Amino acid sequence: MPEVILGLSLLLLFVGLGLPRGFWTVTLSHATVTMCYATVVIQARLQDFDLSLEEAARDLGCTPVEAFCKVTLPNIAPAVAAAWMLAFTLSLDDLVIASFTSGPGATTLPMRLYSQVRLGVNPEINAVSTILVGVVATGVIAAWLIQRRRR
Amino acid sequence: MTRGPSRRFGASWAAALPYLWLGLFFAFPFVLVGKLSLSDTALAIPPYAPRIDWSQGIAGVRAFLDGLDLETYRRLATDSLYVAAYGSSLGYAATATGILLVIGYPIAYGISRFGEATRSALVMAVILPFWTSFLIRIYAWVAILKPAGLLNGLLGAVGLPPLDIMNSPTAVILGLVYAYLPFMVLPLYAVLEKQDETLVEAAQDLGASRLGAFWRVTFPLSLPGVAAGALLCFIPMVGEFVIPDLLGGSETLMLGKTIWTEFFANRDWPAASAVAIALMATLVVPILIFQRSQAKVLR
Repeated sequence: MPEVILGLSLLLLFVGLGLPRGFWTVTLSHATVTMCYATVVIQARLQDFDLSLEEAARDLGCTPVEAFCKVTLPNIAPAVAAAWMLAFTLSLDDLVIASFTSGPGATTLPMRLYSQVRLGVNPEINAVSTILVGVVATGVIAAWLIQRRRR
Repeated sequence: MTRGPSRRFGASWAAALPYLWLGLFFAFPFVLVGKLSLSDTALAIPPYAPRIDWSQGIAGVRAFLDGLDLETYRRLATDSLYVAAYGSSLGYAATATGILLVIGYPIAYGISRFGEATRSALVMAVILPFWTSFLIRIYAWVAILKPAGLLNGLLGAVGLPPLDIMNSPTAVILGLVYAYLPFMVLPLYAVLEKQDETLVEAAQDLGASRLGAFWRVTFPLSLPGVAAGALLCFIPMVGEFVIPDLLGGSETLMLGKTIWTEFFANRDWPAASAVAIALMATLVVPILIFQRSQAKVLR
């Protein structure tokens, strides 16, 4: 679904409900949009997860909630973390939905960047871009090194 | 072991929660967009006429329904600007999807022929751009394509005449192809990687040339991936906003940009909603096909 449509429809909902636009409306919208991605990631992990483990926990006297917290959740934790990372990145990078659903005082970095970029090339954006690319590159390299050491 | 009724009850509740959430924040807003697209244009912020007068019961609802009309759609259909934006959106997206298939297929095919370790490194390289801000990557293209940018500097250095492609359809298609390449490569790769290589060997044993084996075995088997990749790119591209806005300048029209302009610049919410509904209606069929092809890829 194109983002423009999602942004517009969510905004109409917030206006209809009379919610003041700002931090929370952007957060709710991003949660809605990133939920699909997170679901796909976690579902992929759950498919490999052996349900009989959970059943064994139940047989050993766990309540459903206990079985979930003590057996299922630790097993799918890497996927939950990955889903969180994915949702975080998507939310951090989103311009369109944030622009529609945010209000005064809740300007996200992409919104600010966008308004600057529209005015033309300027050294300030180049600086911000360099910092962002640098941080990401460091993060990726660090993650790669950690993973290699673990092996 | 049989599952107790309490567990099933709890599980169905847990499953209902996301659906409730999606119903409230996903389905219901579309109804609002549809309603607004049928409302009359007013230059102020909502409420737009008509509103439902709940105190009058059924009569109120009927009066509300009578108040809705297709006026906004009529206006859009007769305005050549909207029609042009609609056509060019589909045109750009289709062109870019075609180019992506031509570029993406060899990439995916190439990656799938490597060994395990190289493969995962190459897939990582395909995903890597996602880790950088999308805006910044498009902004980088502005720096490359602008009249005094990198591209023309390079062309000048080797003695070629400068290209003026900034703010043109070429720039938009270039940006679309660049931004969506991973979305094309990944589904194709997923299909090609799973393919049984012995099938190709069997075809060759039976006398097919390498090219023949590719065309008659590998390619037909990868068609679900082709469909998934093409639609995964085409659907969001039709409504793309940032790329046409930053690379296309004021002359290229795309629906995503039209919705944005109607909404933010012209404050014409019914028009923005009507364009959104038209866009949705166009994409319903591709989205349904996509979901079916995706199910095939996952199988």
